[in-house]
Amino acid sequence: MKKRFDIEINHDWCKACYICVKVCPRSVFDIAEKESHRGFKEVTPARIDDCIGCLMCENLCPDFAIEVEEIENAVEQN
Amino acid sequence: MKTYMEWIRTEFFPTAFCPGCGHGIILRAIAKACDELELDRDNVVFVSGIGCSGWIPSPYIKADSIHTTHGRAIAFATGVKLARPDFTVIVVGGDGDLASIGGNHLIHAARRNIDITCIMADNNNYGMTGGQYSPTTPKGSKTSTSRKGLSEAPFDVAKLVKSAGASFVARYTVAHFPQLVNSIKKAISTEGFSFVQAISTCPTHFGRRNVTQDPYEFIDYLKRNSVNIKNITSSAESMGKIIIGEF
Repeated sequence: MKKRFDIEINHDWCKACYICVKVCPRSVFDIAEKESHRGFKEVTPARIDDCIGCLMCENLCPDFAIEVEEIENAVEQN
Repeated sequence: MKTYMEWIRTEFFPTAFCPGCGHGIILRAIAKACDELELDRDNVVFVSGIGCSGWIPSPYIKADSIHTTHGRAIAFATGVKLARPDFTVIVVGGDGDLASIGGNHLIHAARRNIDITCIMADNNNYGMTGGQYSPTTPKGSKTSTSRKGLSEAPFDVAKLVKSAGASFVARYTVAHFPQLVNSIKKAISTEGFSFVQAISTCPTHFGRRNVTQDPYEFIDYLKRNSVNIKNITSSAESMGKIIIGEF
C-alpha cells in the first residue's frame, strides 16, 4: 500500500531560497511563473503523488514554510 | 501542525534571517530536541548574545529567554543556573559571540563544568555586521576584512572546549539534521557543560565570497565536505574537511 502525503506551503513565511526544490529526491516541487503577493516566485508541490515523505524539504526549510503530513486512510479516499 | 511548533513563536514570523540562512534549520533542531525530550517550557531558560545567532532563541523560541550583551551569554547563563539550579539553561550563540568576544567565558564555563548546554551556530563569519572574519573562518577564506584570503588558522572550537573539560562535545552541520537533533538532545540530557557546534550556512556573506550564493548548493557543499570522526583512519582523510561527530 502506497503512502500518500499532503504538502502545505505557507507563502507568507517562504523567502524563496528554493532549498526544498533542489533537495527533494523525487522532484516534487516546481517554481511557478506567478509571483506571490510578497514578490517571490512561488514554490508549488506539482507532483505531489511522487512524495515519499522523507521530510528533507520540511527539515531543511529555514523558514518553517513547508509542512508534510501523511494522509491517513488514503486508500479509502480514492 | 507538528508538535514541536508549540516551541516556536510564530507570531514573529517570517523570520529576520536572510533567505536560505541555516540558522532557521538550527532553530527547528532546537525546538524539535526540546519537544522530543518533553521539557517543561516553564523550566527552560534560553540565553543568547548578539549577532544573527542571537535571534534564534529570542524572540523565536516560546520559552523564557534573555538577550544579553555581546559575548556574555555564558556569563549570564551561569548566573541563571546559580540562582535556579533546577532550570534547564541553554545558551545559543554564534562563532563571533562565543569563540571570540566571549571566548574566555566559553573555556572557563567548560573548565568549571557548569551544568548548562551551549549551542554554537557557526556561520564562519560575523554575518550581521557585513561578513568580517571570525575565529572559526577557515584559512584562505575571503571575507570583507580579508580581501586576499585569510592568513590566520581558525580555532577548532570543539576540541578547545573538550580539552577545557566539557562533559559532552559534538559538531554537526545543518546538512545533518537528524544527527544535529540527536546531539542537542544528548547535550541537554548530559550533566555538566555540554557543547554542540552547529555549522550553519551564510549564503549572503561567507557563501557569496567563498562557496556559493545558492542556499542548497551550500548545504550540499557542507554534506560533501564533512567527514565523521568515526570514519577517519588517517590524518590525510580529514585535511581541509569539516570533522563531524561526537568528540
